[in-house]
Amino acid sequence: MNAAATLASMAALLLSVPVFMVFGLGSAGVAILGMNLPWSTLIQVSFGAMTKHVLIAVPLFIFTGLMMLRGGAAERLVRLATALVGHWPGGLGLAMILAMGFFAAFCGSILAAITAVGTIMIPQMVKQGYPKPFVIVLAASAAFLEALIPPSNAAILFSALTDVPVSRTFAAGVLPGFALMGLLSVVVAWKCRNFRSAERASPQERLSALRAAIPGLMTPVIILGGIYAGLLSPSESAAVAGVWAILIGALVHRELTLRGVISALYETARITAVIFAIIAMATFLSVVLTYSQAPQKLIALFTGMGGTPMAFWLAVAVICLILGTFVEIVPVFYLTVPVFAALAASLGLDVLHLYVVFVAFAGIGMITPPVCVGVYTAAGVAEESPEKAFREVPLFVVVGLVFGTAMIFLPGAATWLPGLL
Amino acid sequence: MTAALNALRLVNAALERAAAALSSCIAAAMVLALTLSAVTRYVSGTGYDWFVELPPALVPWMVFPLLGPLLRSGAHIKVDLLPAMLGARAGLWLRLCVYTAMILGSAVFLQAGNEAVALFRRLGQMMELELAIPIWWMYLAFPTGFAILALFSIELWLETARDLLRPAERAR
Repeated sequence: MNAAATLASMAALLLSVPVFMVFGLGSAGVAILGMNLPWSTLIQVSFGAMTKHVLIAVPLFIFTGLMMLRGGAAERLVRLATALVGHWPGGLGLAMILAMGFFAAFCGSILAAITAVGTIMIPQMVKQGYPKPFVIVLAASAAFLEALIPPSNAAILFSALTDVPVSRTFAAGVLPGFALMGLLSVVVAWKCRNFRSAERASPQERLSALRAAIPGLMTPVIILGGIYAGLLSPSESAAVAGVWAILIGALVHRELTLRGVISALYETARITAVIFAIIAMATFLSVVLTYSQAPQKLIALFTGMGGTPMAFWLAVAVICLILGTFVEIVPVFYLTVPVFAALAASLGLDVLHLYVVFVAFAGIGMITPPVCVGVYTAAGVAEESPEKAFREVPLFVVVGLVFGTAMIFLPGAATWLPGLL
Repeated sequence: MTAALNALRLVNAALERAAAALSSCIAAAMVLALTLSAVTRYVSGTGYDWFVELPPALVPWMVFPLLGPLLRSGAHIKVDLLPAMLGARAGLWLRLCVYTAMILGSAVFLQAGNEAVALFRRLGQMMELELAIPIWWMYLAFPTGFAILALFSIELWLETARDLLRPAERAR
């Protein structure tokens, strides 16, 4: 039964049936027909998973990002980044990375970040002579900072699956996020050393850009300050940040309209529905795994084969790379993290170290064809064919591999900051 | 076929507007409830539990009714390898297979959801909120969402079948 369901699910995935339906039918088939579980149990567990309080932060951080975009705060942050580093060699590329870093600090959505920063930066960079394919893949790669720099929806999903407090998972992503920013900056500074803005922003212009960006820069202070001071839960901090974003968009920048708020609410609901449909149906799979004791069997098999931590990390890297190439990161989370977390615990590895390594390797899939939503979104913003951008992908895949490998050998990057909490 | 398709389009357009309005209102309610939770706790020192407990209970009604509209706009996550490799006509056959799977899957989950809702209704359980809400109200989102998904899948199936039957007209 299990083999038949697995084969049928693989075939359905290849036929491009939506992932949530494949998860649902495949897992329910095994649970109902193979294990005689009642539907009510499956649906009850599924609802339990998707109504976890911590997951409510996911739509709220998406909403905050969209409000920042529509209210003009995102644009001012990009201008600040350009004023600070735009005149350096490869300056606009560095400004894009910096702006993605700013945006990552209040938004949990990678695609919202690409749209927000890319809409402003990509035309500027192309005008200055940066090759369009390079700019597209850079935008997609830099947007991946969203998955590491808190508040990150990837961290929230990981916490929901492993029961690690979100504040610790958020903290685990900080240093790796900065490390990735540094790595990308080195690549851009080297590759684009001949591109430089003729005009350098004057101190007054920089001050003016900073003043304009201050309300936006306050958002991460509200989010992270609220959480780490113990004043707000992660979901409350996300909601308060959303209201803050509305206030600065409407009252400070005066660019936000009621229509903009309503369309952002609907967009938030749509993105949330895509993610949560997978969560709801992937929970059927976790029921099957629990009842079949698959994680325990895998642990016994792995330790029986003399599995070492290094073999485990290699397995995580290879599986995440392969799955990330063909499926987006959310299904990969629900497909693998429960088993990986159990294996990591049996090997005495820190689950936060797993989070960073997992995200590093699964995130490479954001830019590798055929399923590279990051590149597709950036190409859409740049009004360029994604296929033309694919020739720049190998360079950034190497960056991702270097980063992921470094994270395997530097567990302290993930565990040091949470250890201080 | 065209008459059935037109009727279905009208129904689905109305359902899409209703689902959009409902899900947008729920998103707004989440933002407001959790902000008020923080504010009232800061002001009064205690706050109200249902501000915190209401948003998770609303999630199913935000998610499941949108499954159908998201299918039509192609927004669901899927593996896009095969569609990119196929020609136009083979692509239509592939879409017909996908929509067939979606109709069958929706029917299975609609039936399952109805059974689960009936069970929870018989049990008479209430949500653990300050406001006493029957728990089956939340579970009702599941069959409702899959009923909408089934209708959208049928519409898309009929559209694809029509395109397969009249390729020349479509090309013009």
